[in-house]
Amino acid sequence: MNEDKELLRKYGKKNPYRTPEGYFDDFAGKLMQQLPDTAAPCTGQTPERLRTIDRIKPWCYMAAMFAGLLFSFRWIVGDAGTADLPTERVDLVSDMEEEDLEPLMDRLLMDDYTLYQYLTEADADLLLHE
Amino acid sequence: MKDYNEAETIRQLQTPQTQRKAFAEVVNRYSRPLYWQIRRMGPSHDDTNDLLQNTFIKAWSNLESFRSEARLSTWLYRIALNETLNFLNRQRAQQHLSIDDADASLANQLESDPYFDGDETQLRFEQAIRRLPEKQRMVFNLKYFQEMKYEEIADITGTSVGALKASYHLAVKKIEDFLMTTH
Repeated sequence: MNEDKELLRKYGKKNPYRTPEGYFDDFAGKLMQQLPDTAAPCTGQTPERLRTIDRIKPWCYMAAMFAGLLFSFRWIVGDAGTADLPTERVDLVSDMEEEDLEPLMDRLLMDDYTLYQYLTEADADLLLHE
Repeated sequence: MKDYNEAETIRQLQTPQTQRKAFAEVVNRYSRPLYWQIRRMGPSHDDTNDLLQNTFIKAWSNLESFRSEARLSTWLYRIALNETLNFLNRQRAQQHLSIDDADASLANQLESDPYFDGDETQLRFEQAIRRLPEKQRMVFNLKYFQEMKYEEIADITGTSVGALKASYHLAVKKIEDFLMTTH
C-alpha cells in the first residue's frame, strides 16, 4: 500500500518549479479576453462541418485508384485465369532438383518458429515502451 | 475566494446569461492545479502557458459537450492531459526522437530551465520522473503530487483501477532504481 513511503520520506512533495511573478494573477483576466462572447460554437476552434461531397471524395479517389491498378495489372499480366506461364519459366522451375529448391524456399519463407519469435520479440519491445 | 459550489457553477455554465462569469470562476479555481500538472509532464513554462490556455479555450468552446453528471475537474484534467500528451508527441516527432530519447531529453532540459529552483536532490527526483513513459508519468504525478484517488484518475484516463495501481507501482520502482543508480 505504502509503496511510495520511501520516496515521500526522502524527497517529499515540495514544488521546485516556479512561475514568472504575478503569472496566476493575470492569467484568468488575459484568458477571458481571448474567449468569444458565447461558449459555443467557438470560432476557429472546431472544424467546419464537412459537406457530403467532401466526405465521399476521398473514397471516390481511392476506388478510382484501385480500379486503375486492377486494369493496369490485367493489361500487363493478361487474364490470370486463362493465360499460361511462359514455357521457359515453367521449364526453369520444373528442371530444378529438389535439393536446389529447398534452400531457395528456406530463404523465401518464414517458418512458424521464426514468425513466433519475431512476433514475441516485437511484442516485448512494445511492452518495454509502455 | 468565496466558497465554491460545483453544482451551482455547472448550473450557471449551462445558462447563457451567467456562463461567462461562471467560467471565469472555473479558470480562477483550476488554473493552478492544471498548470502544475501540465508543467510536471515536461513542457517549459511558455509551452505550459500555451497548453493551459488551449485547455480552457477548448473547454469554453465545448461547454455543450460537458455532461453535468461528470465532475468539472475530471473533464478539465482530461482536456489538459490530452493536450499535453499531443504536444509531447508532436515535439518528439519534430525532433525525430525515439520515446526513450525524448524522455531523457526532457530530463536533461531541467538543468537549464530558468523556472526550476530545486536543489540537487530535487533535480534528480524530477529527472527520474521525467524519464518515466508519458502515461506512467501522468499517473505518478496525479497520485503522488495531486493525491488523487485511483477512481478519480481512472475517470480522467479511462484506465481501470487495477491497471493504474500496477502502473503506479511500476513508476515508483523505476524512480527508485534510477535514483539508486545515479546516487
